[in-house]
Amino acid sequence: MTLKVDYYPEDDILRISTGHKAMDGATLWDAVNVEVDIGTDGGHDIVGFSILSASASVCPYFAPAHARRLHEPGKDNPVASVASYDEETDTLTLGVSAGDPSYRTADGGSITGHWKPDEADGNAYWDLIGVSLKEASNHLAPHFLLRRTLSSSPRQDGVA
Amino acid sequence: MTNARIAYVIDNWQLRGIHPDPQTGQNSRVYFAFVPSIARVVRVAVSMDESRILSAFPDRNATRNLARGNLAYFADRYRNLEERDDAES
Repeated sequence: MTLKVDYYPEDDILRISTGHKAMDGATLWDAVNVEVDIGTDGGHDIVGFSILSASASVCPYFAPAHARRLHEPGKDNPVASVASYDEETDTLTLGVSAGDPSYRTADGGSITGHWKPDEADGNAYWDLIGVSLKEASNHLAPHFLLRRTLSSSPRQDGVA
Repeated sequence: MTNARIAYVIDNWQLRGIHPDPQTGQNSRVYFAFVPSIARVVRVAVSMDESRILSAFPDRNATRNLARGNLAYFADRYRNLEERDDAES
């Protein structure tokens, strides 16, 4: 799926969109700087998302090519802790991926949503706890440079 | 999100606060107001000098928690949270 990716360095906002119209939206439960566009009213189909303070969120893994400020990951950077990157699958996850069987994962192609039932609401409502971007390095280029922090380590499989 | 809806939210905000970003120093001011035409609370984020609209979208989390009167949801996530008594709802 072709995604439209825009990075606005002046405001440090990254926008990723499938191009489909959003009828609804939500922020991630534990990261209100990640704003998610949802295609249907009350649905779980994610059609895009925006990250405010993007450089802090994704810099552990992707460095904005033209950002004025770069932020290093670390325990003292709460914004950065919201993101994780799986190099094997080239998947960037903001928030939490669905690790519990009771959670719901809505696979929308390049963008996957992770939802958790709200027990306080009788499990009738699902809170958006994470969003994953597949083929992240492909989609984020050329705006972002993948920071291969492990590239300097010698490979263990004997392949040069 | 239309400009008219954004203007409505800024003019008729029910809650507003600051999205804290101590790492970047790029805080943003966030306004919340229920927009009757779409039956949703719309969240509008603006730059701190209020010169630029950063984002505007219907926020179902805000909608649900404001309907519940759960201000703790907002207080946990936004700094300097203000509630306006005379806001339309």
